[in-house]
Amino acid sequence: MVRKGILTSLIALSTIFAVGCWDRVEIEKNAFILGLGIDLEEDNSLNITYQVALLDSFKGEKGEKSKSTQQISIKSNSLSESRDALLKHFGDTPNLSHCKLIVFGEEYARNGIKSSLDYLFREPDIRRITSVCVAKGRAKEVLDSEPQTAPSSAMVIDQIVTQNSANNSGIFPFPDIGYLHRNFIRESDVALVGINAGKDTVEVSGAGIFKDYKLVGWFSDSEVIGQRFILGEVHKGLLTADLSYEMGDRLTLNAYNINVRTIPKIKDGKIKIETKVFIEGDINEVGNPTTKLDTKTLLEFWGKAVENKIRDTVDAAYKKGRDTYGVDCFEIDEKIEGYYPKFWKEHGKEWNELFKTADLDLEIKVKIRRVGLIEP
Amino acid sequence: MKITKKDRNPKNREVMEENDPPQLKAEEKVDVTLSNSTEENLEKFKAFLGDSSDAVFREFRLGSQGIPCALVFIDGLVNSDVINKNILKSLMYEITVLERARNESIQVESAYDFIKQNAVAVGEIAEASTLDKCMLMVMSGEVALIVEGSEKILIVNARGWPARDVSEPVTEGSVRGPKDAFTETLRVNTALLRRKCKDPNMVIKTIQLGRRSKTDVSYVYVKGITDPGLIEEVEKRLNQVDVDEIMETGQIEQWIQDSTLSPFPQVQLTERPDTTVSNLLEGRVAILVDNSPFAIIVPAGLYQFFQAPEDYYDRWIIGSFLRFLRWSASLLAAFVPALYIAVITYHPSFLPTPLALAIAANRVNIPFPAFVEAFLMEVTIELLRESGARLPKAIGQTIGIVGGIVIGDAAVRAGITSPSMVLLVAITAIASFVIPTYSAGIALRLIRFPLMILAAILGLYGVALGFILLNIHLVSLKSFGFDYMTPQAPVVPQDTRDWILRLPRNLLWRRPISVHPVDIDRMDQDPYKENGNG
Amino acid sequence: MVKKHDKLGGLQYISLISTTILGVIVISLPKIAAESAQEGALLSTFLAGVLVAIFAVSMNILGRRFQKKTVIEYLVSLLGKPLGKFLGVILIIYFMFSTSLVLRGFSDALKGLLLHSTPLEVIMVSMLFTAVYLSLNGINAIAKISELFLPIIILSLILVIGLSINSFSYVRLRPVLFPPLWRTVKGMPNVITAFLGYEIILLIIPFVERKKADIPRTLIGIAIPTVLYILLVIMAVGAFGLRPSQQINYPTIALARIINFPGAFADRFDIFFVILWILAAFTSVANLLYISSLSTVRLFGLRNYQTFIYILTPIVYMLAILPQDLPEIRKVNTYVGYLGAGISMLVVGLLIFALVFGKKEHENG
Repeated sequence: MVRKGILTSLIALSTIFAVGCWDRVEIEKNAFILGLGIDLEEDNSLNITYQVALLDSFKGEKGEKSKSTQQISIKSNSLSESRDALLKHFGDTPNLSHCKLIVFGEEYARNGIKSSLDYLFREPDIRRITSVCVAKGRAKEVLDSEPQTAPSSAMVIDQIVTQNSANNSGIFPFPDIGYLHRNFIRESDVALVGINAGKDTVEVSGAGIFKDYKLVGWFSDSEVIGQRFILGEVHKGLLTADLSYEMGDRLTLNAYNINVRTIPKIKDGKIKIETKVFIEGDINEVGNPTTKLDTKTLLEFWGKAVENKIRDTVDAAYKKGRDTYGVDCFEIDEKIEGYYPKFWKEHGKEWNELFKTADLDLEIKVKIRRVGLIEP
Repeated sequence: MKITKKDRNPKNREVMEENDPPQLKAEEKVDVTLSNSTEENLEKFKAFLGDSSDAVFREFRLGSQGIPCALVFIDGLVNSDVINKNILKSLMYEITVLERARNESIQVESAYDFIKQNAVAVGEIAEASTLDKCMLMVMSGEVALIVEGSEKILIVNARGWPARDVSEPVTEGSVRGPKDAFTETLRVNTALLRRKCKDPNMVIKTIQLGRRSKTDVSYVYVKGITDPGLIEEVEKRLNQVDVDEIMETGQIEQWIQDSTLSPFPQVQLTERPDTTVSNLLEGRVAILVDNSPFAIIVPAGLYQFFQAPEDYYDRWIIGSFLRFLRWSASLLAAFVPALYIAVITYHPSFLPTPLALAIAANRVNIPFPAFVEAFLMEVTIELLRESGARLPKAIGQTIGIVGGIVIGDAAVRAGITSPSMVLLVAITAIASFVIPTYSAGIALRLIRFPLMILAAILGLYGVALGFILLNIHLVSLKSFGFDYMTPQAPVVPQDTRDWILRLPRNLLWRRPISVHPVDIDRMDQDPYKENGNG
Repeated sequence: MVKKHDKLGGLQYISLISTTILGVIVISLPKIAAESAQEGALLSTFLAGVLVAIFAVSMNILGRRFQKKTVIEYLVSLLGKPLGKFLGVILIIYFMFSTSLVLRGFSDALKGLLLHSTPLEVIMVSMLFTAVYLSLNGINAIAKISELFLPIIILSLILVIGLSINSFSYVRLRPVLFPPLWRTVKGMPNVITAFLGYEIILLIIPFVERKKADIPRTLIGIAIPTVLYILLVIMAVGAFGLRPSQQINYPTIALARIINFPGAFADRFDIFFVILWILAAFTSVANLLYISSLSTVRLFGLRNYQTFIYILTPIVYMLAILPQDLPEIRKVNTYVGYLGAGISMLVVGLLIFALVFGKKEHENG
């Protein structure tokens, strides 16, 4: 009896609820925003570009290729205001949950990106793995470009930075909001993937270096490789070395196993960063294959050459970061905090000064395992 | 047992008195105690059966004294060969030969005993001393032999009526295993059981249920395995059945089930003797009803509805795979429409971007909300199923084609529904038919409608609530006092060997403990030890 | 054979304890631990688990001394009528506040995570009604539901922990591996609130088969949430770092948010996880609601707990809807936490008292 009573009241209740359906938005009534770009206007207000998917072009049956996205730019003071203003542009509900990419314009980045970060961290629709990058130029140009390999530029860039960074060591490996948030709270400096955009091409190139969340300069692709070695975030990829013509001219090594261990050491208040690198790889291509030396000597020599090349690359990146920009974009502070929590508690505040005196101690070992189908 | 019962409802009496002729006033006219006069007894039968054209009253004289006798039987229910050759011939002709040979004549006083002992060449005979008992026998197809000078009537078994042959199971077809199924004749069905299991401990008890239909209902169990408490409970519940007619096992099921407020079947219905016997040997009780080709097996757990006999006939890996398939299909059938509605209308972020965009693009021109769309399509498919089931096979296929292909395609082209919805509805429909038990399949198809409503109101939270409510309902269900959700809740580790997985036979050395069998081992616990090999 | 009320089995006993503890709090536990214990987050979670285990075992031993009696009744027989009844009332208040806190925490989180514009009341009432429906079915149904959902809850947490292992970094975890003792101890009261609900042991022992409600099973019941909590703290701190973990409101959800769903049909693991987490929250609400009404019934010496569910439900709802904002909820949470700790201490005290002075009531019950 009691159970019956409960059941009836439940059913009655649910009919009352049926009037509500508060959160209901039919899927086609969503305006899916695929990319978000933030630029700075001349009057110091923000120009926010939304890349909105045009649903007609995503139908199963493909007719002639039509535009698949529309970019809507809105001038406003903050991200949430601009999202509100989006409602004046179309009848659908803006939906950020499929936002693949957030791009900062170069000018805006130089001015500081702190103002928009809070919204990106707070908004539940934006995921922690949403890609973030900085444009070499205006963010709107990046979103406006129409690469042909995917429906939208945001999706292309997202795929590049999330999937290809494992295989190409020239791509900065932390492209997401989670990385930004983690470092933002710890008040440490960051780097972001740089993007070059043409009319119908986009290209990942280097990384933008931020000091106190203001863009201060760029790393080139090779410097990103060096940076990744210090970060310990490189696992495989192509490595090259320039040689004399007699010794093979130019060597490409396919490193299939790269093992990096970075441990900071503190001795008498002096910080030393010990990075141990171990690389296993196969010969991929040799510029001049007519060398006369025997295989063993040659392989040893080439291994040394690659070692030297990496040492130069890493040193260059480290010096540029430390001396030119004075930015610890290598997450060394995190390692210090991990290994020397007491030291960090006392000296964490002066890290910017301390970092300038920190030295990098590299130890690299390269093993060439296989040579391919022909003798070297 | 009474032929007519006094009406309990006072209203009935009034109705009967107003309308003439009254329904049956024979009881008032006829004294139901038998007399020793053939003529009087015959009159009593005629008072009931005189109006029926299929009742046969055959009067004849017996022996040299010309003792009046009569046969009463229902034409069509009896084997006329037996009546002609084994009863009439011996009574009318052979008995005079006997008289002559023995040189004596049968007297009226001893005629009854003489006939019983010497003159009826039929294996199964019985005696009836009341009209009630006698009438019941006649109505079940036996022959009543009325002899002058006796207050007893001889009942001779000459049953024989048109019956369907044993044929293949229709609702529980299987690729492997025996192909015989129960028929409408109770005796044939019990014989099928005996053929499968020759254990003399298998008891078949019969009672008659139904005030007017007087249907034979047998319950079968194996003494020494089945929990005595369970047998008691079955007897108790069967005796509570008090209706006019029992046409089918389904009616018994509704009388004896634990909860009438549940869409889920609480007894197992089967038309396969092999399924029945293996359940009997697990300690369950089977109930067979005359005129019904289905057996009820109690107690039933939810997991039983996902079992097919092939699971045991095939190798265990295949059996386990099929079971796993059925469980996932049932979850699919119940929850996928609701999940689809919830995701589409509340959480498009749940889908990968390309899929979300594709579904959204396909829905751009659909005028209905996803819930209405899904509801329409689900109702359509239920209509198709129902009409297909009732129509002759040839037309049923046409309906299937018209419904499935033409309506589906036209609805998409007309922009009433999206292709993804058609796909989804089709998949769930197929999935719901994977479950071997028809009634369980229907229950699953039914519960997806409330789930869809919950999903439309509260999104995935609603679906989660629906899942919780469903589980609460299931765990509080009982079948004959046994937990419905065993071996999941409560967990019976031993029984989980034969649950979603069907482990190798040599690991299933115990009967399901959740049925409380008296004898729990069905094989030697360690079959390898004595054989000395693997 | 046809038993109307079976005694609960050992597994049901374990799962009742575990599912009541594992509730709303699993999604914010790493934050609570990291915030209140700082570098001691990991150790304080572990120590809280140990402490709770000690409390739980004392409750178990005490409960088994009084077969067929719940805490409400044996308080009276231990301490006399006035004091015993008074403590019983406090216990009931504690259980009711716990129920409403869990309900409120659940509704707030769900509103923030899934249903942004659905009114809080609707979420609360629908959840409460489902819990009432289960509670009305009695302890057997509750135990079976716990048993059914516990594997799902454990599996969902293990999945979150296992699948986010890619973001784990040993370096980020290192600071919590060498905890300062003082901070650890200081953070423990807050961390213990995450174990709220283990007091269910006080009431369910009479319903469990006598031999099944033993100390090892009690320990397993506490160990399941403890281990999961420790793993969650390790994962959250390892993935986000200690200080970010303090800043993120629902770190477990955040962990789920960095997981890409394996497979093509779904993308976001967090939504999937939230659905399973609803089951965890539900078992907590339902179990707590049931024991609140059960203890009330026992206090009045009546039989029919179902009436009291109807009476208590609106009160629980009012208590849950009363706090206006986050700080108020946290304040209530803290007080209830202290009350729970006090009750647990009391039980230990009672146990010592009973061991020293009390006569055994094993047989007469």
